[in-house]
Amino acid sequence: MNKAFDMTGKVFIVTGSGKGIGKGIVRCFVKSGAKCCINCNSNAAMAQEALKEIQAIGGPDCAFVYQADVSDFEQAKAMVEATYERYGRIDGLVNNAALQKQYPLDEYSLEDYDLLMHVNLGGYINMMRATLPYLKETRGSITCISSVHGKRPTHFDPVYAMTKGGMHMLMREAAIEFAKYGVRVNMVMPAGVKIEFKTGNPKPFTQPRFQAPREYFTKYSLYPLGRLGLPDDDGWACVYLASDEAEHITGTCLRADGGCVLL
Amino acid sequence: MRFDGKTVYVTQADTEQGEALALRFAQEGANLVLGDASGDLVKKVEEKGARVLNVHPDLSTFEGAQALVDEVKAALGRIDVLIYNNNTVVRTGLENLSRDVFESQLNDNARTGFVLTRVVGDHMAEYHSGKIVYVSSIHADKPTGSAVMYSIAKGCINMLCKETAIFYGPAGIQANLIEVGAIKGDDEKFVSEFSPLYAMGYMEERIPRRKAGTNEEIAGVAAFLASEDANFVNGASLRADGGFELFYGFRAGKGEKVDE
Repeated sequence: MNKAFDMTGKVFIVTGSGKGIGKGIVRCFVKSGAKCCINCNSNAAMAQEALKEIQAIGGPDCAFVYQADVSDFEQAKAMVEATYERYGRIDGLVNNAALQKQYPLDEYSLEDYDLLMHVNLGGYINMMRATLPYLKETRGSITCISSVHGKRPTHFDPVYAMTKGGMHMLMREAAIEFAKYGVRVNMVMPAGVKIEFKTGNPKPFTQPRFQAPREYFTKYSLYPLGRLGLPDDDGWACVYLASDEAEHITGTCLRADGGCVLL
Repeated sequence: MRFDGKTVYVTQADTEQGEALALRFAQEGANLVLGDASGDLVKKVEEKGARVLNVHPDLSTFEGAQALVDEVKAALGRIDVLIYNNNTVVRTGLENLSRDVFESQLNDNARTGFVLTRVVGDHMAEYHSGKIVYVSSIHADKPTGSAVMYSIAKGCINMLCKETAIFYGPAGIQANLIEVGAIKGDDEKFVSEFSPLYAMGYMEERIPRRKAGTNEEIAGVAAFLASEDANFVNGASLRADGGFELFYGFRAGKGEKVDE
């Protein structure tokens, strides 16, 4: 157990946590003593695998899987209620479930545009609204996983960047609106993170239009610290922001990108 | 004049900001395409010597936007400048947010911009030149405390502008954004129970010159960004708020009159 931040007895919901960054966030919360709701939408089998891995760290009752599409408010609300029924309290929400499509601007369909807006922004908003009544009781926290592409454009997914830009303002508005309840709202901003795979994507970066200048990536690392991010890098950032040690921190954005945007 | 022979498309021209933009570009020699303008405005712009096409496009689809571009091409020729001037404010917090407001605010202030950018961007790329100016808001950075979906949409447009700048840049197009702030009437629009930003009666106190901005001043900034003088400005956010956002609670500037 890592008790740098003691989360014993606390309960968190992490959306999109059947794999990737979300799973890393759950791992860090459970290592700190918390209980978690693991949320997945498309890949239930993979979430069950994640659950086994997490239970090996925190015991059989430290987590459970709930399948829900967060872009649907009713499903989001049902998940939050199920978590409360199971564990009796909710101390924090980590909004992480988001999609990326990887089409250039002039190839993007409006169906994909709408899907990204409804999942990446609508899903975050639905979960915030569904969780807020419980967070008022615990003076809990909300942490939104964004991306360096909320500040820096992508070239490979303009709509993803738009949703992340919107997310930055959602986080700031929520921070001042929920402050009266003692509910803090913050953001973690990763760059590239090494994960198993992403769903919903066409073949990432294989389109001939996404060409880097000659020798660009072979000559220089994208990351001053010399490696891609790992899910736990973002996980520990979330644990810190949700901890009592961060009680005066709200409306901020913690960039956990290995220094990527400095280059 | 800077815009002689050029065609400038101003969206949501039926607003005070839209009117100021239309008149400014007309005064500098442009022909105007006006989105949903009133008959009065069309007349005023024509009196400045501009040719005017008043349009009512369906911006919910790429096809609708393409039909608009075709209509402009037939009437006035190519579009040289796109001014995305959509700024519809619906006051709502997150706790009382409705699905309808979520959809309508994102649609009015962001989705239409995405559709237009793509279609007009492709159109401008055929001529290897063009300027896109997003008349946005300081609320792409500073929360309102009163209109959450407006801020979110502005955050989206902020990134759209940067994506447009790098995507259409090789095709000779520049895209920039104006972070408009503290225009007369904004305090009524955005007054909030959470933020003193627009506390009634104090908005102008926050501005170093102690006077709200005007739509005409914003039109001047837009005209600069749309002109040849701004050829090397791309993907920039230009805050035009008189220094409103910098205020931190005191008035102690040079020449300040101290209250007795």
